[in-house]
Amino acid sequence: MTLLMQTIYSGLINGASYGLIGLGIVLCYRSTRVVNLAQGESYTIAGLVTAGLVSSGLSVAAAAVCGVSAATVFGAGLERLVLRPRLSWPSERLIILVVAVALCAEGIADYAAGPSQYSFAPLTGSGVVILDGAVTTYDGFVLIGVVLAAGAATSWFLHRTVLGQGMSACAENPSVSSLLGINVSLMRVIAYSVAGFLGGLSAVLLVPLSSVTYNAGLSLTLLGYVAAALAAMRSPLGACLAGLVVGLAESFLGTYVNQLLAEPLVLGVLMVVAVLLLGRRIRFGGVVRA
Amino acid sequence: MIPQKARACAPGTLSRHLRGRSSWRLAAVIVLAASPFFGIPSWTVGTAVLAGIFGIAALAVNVLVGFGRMVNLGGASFLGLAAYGAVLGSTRFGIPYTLAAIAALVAAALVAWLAGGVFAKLPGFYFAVAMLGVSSAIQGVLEAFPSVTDGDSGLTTARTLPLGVVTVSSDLQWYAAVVVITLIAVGTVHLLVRSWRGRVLALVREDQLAASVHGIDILHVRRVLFTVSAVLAALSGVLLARWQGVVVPQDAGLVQSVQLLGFAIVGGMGSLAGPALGAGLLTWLSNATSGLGNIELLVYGLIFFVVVAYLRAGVVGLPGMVLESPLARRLRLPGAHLPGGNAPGRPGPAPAEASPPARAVMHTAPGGGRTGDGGSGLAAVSLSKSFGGVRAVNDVTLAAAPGRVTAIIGGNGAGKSTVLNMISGVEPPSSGKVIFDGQELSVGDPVERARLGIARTFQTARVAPDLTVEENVRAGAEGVYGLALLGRSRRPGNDLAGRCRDALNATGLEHIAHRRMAEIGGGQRKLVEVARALALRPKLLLMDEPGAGLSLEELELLAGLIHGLRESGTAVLIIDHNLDFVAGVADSGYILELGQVVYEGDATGLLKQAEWPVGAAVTPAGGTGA
Repeated sequence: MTLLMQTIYSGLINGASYGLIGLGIVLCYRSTRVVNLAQGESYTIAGLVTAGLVSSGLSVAAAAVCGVSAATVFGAGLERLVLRPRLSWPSERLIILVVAVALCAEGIADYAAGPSQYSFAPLTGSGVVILDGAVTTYDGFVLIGVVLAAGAATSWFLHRTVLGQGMSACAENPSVSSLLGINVSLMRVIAYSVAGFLGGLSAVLLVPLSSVTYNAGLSLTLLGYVAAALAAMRSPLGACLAGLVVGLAESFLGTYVNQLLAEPLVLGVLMVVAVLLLGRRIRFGGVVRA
Repeated sequence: MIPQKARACAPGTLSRHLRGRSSWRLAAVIVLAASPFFGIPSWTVGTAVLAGIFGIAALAVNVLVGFGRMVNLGGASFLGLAAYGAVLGSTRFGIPYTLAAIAALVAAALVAWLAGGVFAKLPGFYFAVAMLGVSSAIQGVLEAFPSVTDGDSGLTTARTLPLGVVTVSSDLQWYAAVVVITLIAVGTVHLLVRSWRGRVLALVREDQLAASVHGIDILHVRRVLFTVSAVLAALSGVLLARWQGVVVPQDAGLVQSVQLLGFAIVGGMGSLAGPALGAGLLTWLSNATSGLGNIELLVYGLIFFVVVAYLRAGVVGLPGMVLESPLARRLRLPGAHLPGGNAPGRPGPAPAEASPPARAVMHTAPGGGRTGDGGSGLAAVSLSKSFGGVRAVNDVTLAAAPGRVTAIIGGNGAGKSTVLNMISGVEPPSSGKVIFDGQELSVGDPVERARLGIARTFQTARVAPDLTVEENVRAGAEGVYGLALLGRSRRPGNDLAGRCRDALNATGLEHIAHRRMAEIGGGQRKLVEVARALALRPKLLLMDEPGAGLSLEELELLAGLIHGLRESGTAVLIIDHNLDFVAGVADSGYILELGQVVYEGDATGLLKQAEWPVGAAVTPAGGTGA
């Protein structure tokens, strides 16, 4: 029973970070039609900045604020400086462009932090909850709560507010949206900043429970991407829930089937299944009506 | 790549521009091939071998991304599978490596063909995600069964390459072998994507809808590309295993896949020499930056970023960029010109004298001699279509007979385009059926319709902007022949070129045949679509607002064409708002209102009936012709 609880708990907290990253990817996709494969870097940046500031004597809370701000700025900068001048590019080139940004971010992290692992004390103190013999922490529950709240809030924002609907409209048709008085550029910056913020948030909550290294971003991005793909790149709440499911699946496979098989199998099989179920088939090749 | 068509190139057009570039590419390949002997730091024979092997894999990715616009984030899947298959076959079962490698290639082709049936259907980024998943799952499975695959440490094998009579072992021998194999791979792909296949591919890439109504089976094309790509990746894999002397799960994994896509894009998407150049540059870069310690990844990342962000056409596009830069133009370097700006003759109006041949040209039997008697034409029986709760078309029954021009008129939102889409198979009807020459057509299958001799045009022209007018017309006509990988039986015959020329003459486009689509006006683009449809020698021609956006001269030309088609026994079905134009060409027609037929009868009655309030600007007076 203890093992089961532990498996569920660790699956959920990992899944929560996949969900937050996936949510960020959905937001970026819905505002610009770009699959943001640098989304996981906001996690690395926030984690490393916070750890660095904590070790230089700042309080954890203040360091966390700085870390999350850095991740938010990274998100905004990605949109403003890299993507905005090139939005007319075909999507396959933009994907590689974002990968190049991710590589640069990893390069900076490697240069600044080196290959060692970093961590810091939990924001909520080091309180521990024993649930049915399994050791859990407050931070873990906060993380799970945050992902559900963020998913619900973003869904509400995108579907129920004028600003959010404007954001969706931007991706559908930027030129018409701007003619209708929507500030397309602003919407994009907001979406990318929020995505960066969410990635940073997942870092300050998750890193105390595990650790962060300079190259943590890419694998996190890919799992977040699975979550986003399971939500058909549309539903923010769906991405969060899918992230939890991915985390649980990974955790259960790792505990009960084969540790080696866990991550790649989850990634691979879930992606293929998701795509085959969700991908609309090409009927006549035309997505556009004549 | 536009070889063997020198005669088709007007001076100073894009074609010459491209040919200039392709010779540069050839030079680049030669330089790349000979480069280990130039004393470039860190560019050793070993690096060159690796670059060549990765170049083949990157070419595999480029076949999908560059020629089919299928973003492949799992390019390493088949590479890793084939490498493991060949090594396992030779070490565990004692099969000679050459045989095992060939078996791996054949297996890759078979698996890709079967899997392609599913994967080729995935649109857009779903394909990318699926391939990413496949790549990652393969790596996972390879890691998870250490008893067979030796897990993370990988399978070791000899660092020699037995090639039948000779065995390659020294670095220099490897180098020679890889250069030859890479050139063969590039040459094979070149044969596969040049001339008519290239045009068909371009049409599929640019506009799948237009491609499918011209009889191009898009799924088949994508499946063929997928298979070709898999075989190339497998070839790269069986070479890589022997060159490294070991094959590890990461060879099939995600990082490798992303890297391969990076090679293809840095080199230049859709080019043949590009992937090898990209692989060469990045392999050299990672070699040159290794040993920089902490800063290695940053330097690599920055250079990668600069190439992706600032060299739009990749490394192969570099000389073009240099030649077209303002500096080069100021210095008047040879080849420095505004692209397309100096083509002979300004756009100008279509010459009126082009219309007389229209009639003559179209006198040949409809359907390209497929049938002598015109058949019974088209009948649509109680077609209905609902979008959500909106019933856009409600129980519409209509017919279009051979040798007659039938018009459908109606206000905006009356359901005219939806009717045409259902007839042409672009949209499946909610209920009802379409019968052509006594045969019921399958639901939503534009390819079948094209093969039966039904052609259509679109409200706004759907063409491949990077091809010339002539190439667009030919691509459409060639589409019916499918993209047979090896089959020659259905290859377009010589008469096809003649047909296309006739179609261009008939539409008065021959004087701009070699201009790129992006350079010509909207009315002319629509005429290109008409020419493309005519080149199919259709038995039934569906036209969606053919007159919209045309100049008076062009309208007159079009009317002449339609008369010619009627006399040659073709059935023509036209949708239009322009009552003047309809009056000039139609024999009979239908009026649609709110998705229902409210009038059917001859043209005179049609126009009388049509004095509705909708078109205040419309004058249903006597027509221009007839």
